[in-house]
Amino acid sequence: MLTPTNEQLVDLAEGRLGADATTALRAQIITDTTAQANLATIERLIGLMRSDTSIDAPEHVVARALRLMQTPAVAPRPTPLSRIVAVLLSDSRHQPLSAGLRSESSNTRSLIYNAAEHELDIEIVPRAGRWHIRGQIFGPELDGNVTIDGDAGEQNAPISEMGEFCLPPVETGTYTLLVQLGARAIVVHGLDLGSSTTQR
Amino acid sequence: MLADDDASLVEACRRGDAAAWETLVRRYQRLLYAIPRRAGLSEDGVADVFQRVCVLLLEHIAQIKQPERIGAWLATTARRESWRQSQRARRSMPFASGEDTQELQIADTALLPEELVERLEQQHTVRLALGSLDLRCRTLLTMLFYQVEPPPYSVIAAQLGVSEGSIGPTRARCLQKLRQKLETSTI
Repeated sequence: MLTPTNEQLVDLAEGRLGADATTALRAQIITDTTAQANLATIERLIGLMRSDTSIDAPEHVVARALRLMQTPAVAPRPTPLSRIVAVLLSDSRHQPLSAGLRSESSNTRSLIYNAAEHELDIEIVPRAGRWHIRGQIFGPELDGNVTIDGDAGEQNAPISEMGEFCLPPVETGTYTLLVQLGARAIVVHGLDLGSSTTQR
Repeated sequence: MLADDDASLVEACRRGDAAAWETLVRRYQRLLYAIPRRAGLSEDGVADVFQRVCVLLLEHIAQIKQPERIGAWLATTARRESWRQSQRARRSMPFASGEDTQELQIADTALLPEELVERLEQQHTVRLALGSLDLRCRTLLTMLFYQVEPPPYSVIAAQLGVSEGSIGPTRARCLQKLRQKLETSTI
């Protein structure tokens, strides 16, 4: 059996052959694994090009980024370990209710902290007598892990690529939350789980 | 081929070579713009993500472990920053109108599944490879595969100054060259 030419395979991938020629060529390559692999590669390549709807970034956007990058290069210095105390920006427990919401409509407590270049969102949900904590960190560096430590024990969890984390449930108590990001640690002191938050 | 170029560029950037920085940013500008656009961000949001990723690149260039995979690093960072930008937009609009809220939810829930980002990255790699072909192949493949309505062979032949009958074989050869250029990439 004749091996189809590269041009025939491209015609087939492009859909330029008539119905009869298409059927004949497909029948011809049905047992030819090399031709099948070539056809698949060509189809994939053409598919990538035809579905590409990207556009160039506007020149002013590129130029602005390049200007920002003109900072003189400096020799990297060893980074000292730093510990940043997070500042509470918002606590849903102290927010007035939005119109139309009932006070018992949610028992999720949302906290937003700022810590230098990072922002930290935490959600606390009471369930079955324990406290479930999940959150997200926003900032230039996200690789690391989160630890919660208190009288009632310690738990930790990794931070995902998207900056999210979800700690195993903890008992009622007062905790310190530590977000470790490389040489930087963000600390949330006095995280109160229990006494003043309604638990179902 | 492309990966080697990227690794050399990153090395030059690390040495503080301003021209290398510009080459690197211009090489990936389309990808860095495409990712936040596909996340549904506003024009300003897209520009902010673009700028933010460039600043992060500047800050982290010395720590990037696989310089030959800088494209993947940029794509992942742009994806993460797009997500972050959309979260910020949502937080800053607590009383958005129904229409606005819907738009933001689209940006959030449909936000750049990994497969989509990979596809954008692959499309970008193909474009880079295409850009390294000779002018005739570049023009031919662009007319055939990057236009919504590809022109007939007669129009392409007139533009390239060749016979109509040579377009089919030339197209196949140009695709072959493109495949060879891509052999060292992950496609």
